[in-house]
Amino acid sequence: MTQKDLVKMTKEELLSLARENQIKNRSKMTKAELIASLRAITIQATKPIIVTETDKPPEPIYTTGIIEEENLCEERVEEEEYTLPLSYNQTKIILLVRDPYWLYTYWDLCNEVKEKLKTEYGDWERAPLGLKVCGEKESGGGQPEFFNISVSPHTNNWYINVKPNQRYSVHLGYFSPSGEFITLARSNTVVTPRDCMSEVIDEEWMIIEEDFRRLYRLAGGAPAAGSVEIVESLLKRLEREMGSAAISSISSPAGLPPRERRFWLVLNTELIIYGATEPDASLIFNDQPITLRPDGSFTIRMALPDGVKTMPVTSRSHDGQDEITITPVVSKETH
Amino acid sequence: MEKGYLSLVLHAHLPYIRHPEHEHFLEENWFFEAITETYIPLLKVFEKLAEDGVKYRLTMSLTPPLLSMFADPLLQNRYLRHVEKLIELSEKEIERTRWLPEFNRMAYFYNDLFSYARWYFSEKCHKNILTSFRRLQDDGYLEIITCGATHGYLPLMIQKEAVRAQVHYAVEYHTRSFGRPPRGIWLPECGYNPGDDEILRDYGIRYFFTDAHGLLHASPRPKYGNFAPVYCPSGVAAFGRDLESSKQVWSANEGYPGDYDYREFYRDIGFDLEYEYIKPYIHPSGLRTNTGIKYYRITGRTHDKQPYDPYWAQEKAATHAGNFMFNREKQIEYLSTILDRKPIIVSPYDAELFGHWWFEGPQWIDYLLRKIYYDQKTIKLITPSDYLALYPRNQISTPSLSSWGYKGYNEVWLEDRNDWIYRHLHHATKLMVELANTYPEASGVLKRALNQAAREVLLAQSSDWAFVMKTGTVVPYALKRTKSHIGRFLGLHEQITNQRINEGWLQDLEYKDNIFPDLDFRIYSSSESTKRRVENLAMAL
Repeated sequence: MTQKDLVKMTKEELLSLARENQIKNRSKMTKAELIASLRAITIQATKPIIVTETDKPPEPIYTTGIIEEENLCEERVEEEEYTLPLSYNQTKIILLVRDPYWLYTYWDLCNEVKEKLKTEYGDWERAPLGLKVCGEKESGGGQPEFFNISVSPHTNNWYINVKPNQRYSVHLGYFSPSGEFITLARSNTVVTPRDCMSEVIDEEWMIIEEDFRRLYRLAGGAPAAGSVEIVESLLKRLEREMGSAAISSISSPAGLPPRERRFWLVLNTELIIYGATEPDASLIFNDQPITLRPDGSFTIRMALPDGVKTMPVTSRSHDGQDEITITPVVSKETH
Repeated sequence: MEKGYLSLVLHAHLPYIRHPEHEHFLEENWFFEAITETYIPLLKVFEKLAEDGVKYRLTMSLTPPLLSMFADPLLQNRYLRHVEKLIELSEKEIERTRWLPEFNRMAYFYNDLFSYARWYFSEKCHKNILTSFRRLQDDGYLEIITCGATHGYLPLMIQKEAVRAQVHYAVEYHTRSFGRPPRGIWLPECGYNPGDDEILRDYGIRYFFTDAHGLLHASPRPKYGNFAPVYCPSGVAAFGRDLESSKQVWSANEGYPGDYDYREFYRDIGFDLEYEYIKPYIHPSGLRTNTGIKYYRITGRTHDKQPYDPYWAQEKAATHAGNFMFNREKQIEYLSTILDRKPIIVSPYDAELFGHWWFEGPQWIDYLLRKIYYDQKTIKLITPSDYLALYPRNQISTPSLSSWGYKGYNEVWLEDRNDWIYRHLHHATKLMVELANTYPEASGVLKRALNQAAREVLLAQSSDWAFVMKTGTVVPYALKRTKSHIGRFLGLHEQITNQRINEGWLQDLEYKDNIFPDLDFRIYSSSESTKRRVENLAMAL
């Protein structure tokens, strides 16, 4: 995406793009700052080089300055850049389960509906959009529950706090001047998972309550405790335990060493011995043969510990007639 | 006579990363490192055990993207190039460390490791290590199961067609790769959504796994907790993960891999050595990267790391294997006082933990399997299929929605940093299903475009991208992959519906995103009948 494309976009569009790109502090940025940050991200993403897993996670670049095109050229590789649409021009709402207590919903409105709301409320941003959440027991029966959430037209998704083991759907709509909720779209239905053991017992597969609790404890690793505590402890344990997928990708099982003071110095010493001889001669260093380059030159490189090192280098001619030895002696001390 | 069973499950997966458009691509190294450090060392252990007459049964899932990378000539040749560079570097290291005996010994060690990997890969396996896994399967040591076609996270797919396509292609590809259909599946991220088991049943899958709470919270209440499977109403069996054995291996604080004698992952010569010297072996741009040569042990929670001693580490691996076995024996003995049948302990791990992260992991498995075979009689290794054959009658119950991600549900793949992808994934799937329903008889360029569109949808669905966005490493790459697969799909969709397919562009996409060359887009068709599924399977065989 070029600077030009970004400049053409509204601030709302830019914000949404910034959100996709996980730019921090986006809500506080001016339009120019947003463009600069997005530009920086695009350039980052275009580079063929991406840091490895052990490197610091790449941070979005915050800048309000102008980015010099020239500096970027050499690192740029011609590749297609894709920007995904902010809206697919359809009116719909989708509901997903995050866990026993939270749902996630996202929605989209078609241009027609947006126009209609605009004419009714003058300004699109003033349309009193809302969600109507309907919940009922998973097994059916009981009173269904309803509650409304007002949402800003600037957003297109929401997390909803709910109860475990219930069936939910949500309506996207707006509140008419008389306060009535007018539905624009209705979501799919989802069921939140249970957060405890089931109360349903199968007679054919009965087990003494106490034995089941022992089993549950074994599986969850809780100390002997009442059922609520058992569940809590199981959940805590699940929380504590890194999902294995998580661990394999972010840290070694040992974890990183603790942070110490930042200032540090590492110093190592290596020794390079190099030279040249007749290309067909054989070269011996410390009783070991060394391979010559085609032009007869050679390089030997070694880590150099403290102490005195005597290093005889011997070249023997192809026919064995001549032999030359040079013996450097190196002494290294570290204070 | 044994009192219970242990089922070790290794889940091997890497996202499909292959960039022919770049000469060197950093993320391809994940695959290369896994071959050298995990897959070949594991195969070596498995083969040696078999050779020594140790009987064992292990379950392994090998995901379709991984199998595709195994079979890809470009990656095969790049792997050889990669390992040859490592051999060259280890030779230099032998020379460089001649006055540092503790390091010199390790330099020889790495030289052997890399040379063996090269021999194993190119000579023994003719560049495709799938052949070794298949041999171990055919000889009765491994039960190899499948996964989602691109490791898509099933609980967050709203169209059944999307789940079906992930399962359909996985089963088809697996069957072709291993000469028999998979009996089990490792659901991507262990993510189970009630009802998905019906789709598994349609494709002949007999069992899957859930995390501990998935089975413990099943309804009706499961009599044996997670120490025996239940049958879902569809008839597919669900096995629950055991947390105790998991924790011993995984836990950051208490787990074995954190032992101070084990190799430190974070000290690599790619970062430690002098720049000009190491430059030819890191990324060509000059960015320092891991090489795989690491000389230190974990030592403690300190920066002052001590040199690695392979002998100490090996001793520790043996001790830890003994400890693991002892704990399982105690666990089984205790369980047998509660249960009226022999319990099964299911211990699944990411395969890449062994060798890559936990360098001594393959050795640990080696000791564990030997000890279980020779040193005790309480537990026996088993695969889920074998257990179902022993106990064909099981309680009927529906597990609860669950995954093995942090906190146990969908949050890892659905949170502030990655939730925006779902509107695009769902939209693309919806359009893909419409395309498959509209053009069932497509041929020629149209068919190619439809197949490529299906590939792009599948690639975009990999749970790896959402995961990476969450964890915060290599985020730009994950963003780029998600956006480009969706973007390419939308482009293809537009060209198909407008009947203006740009063949040059299509060809470029086929070259870049070449996963599953024989994919048939009709796996997305809503009318996809059971009959056709069975025919496909028969043909795949």
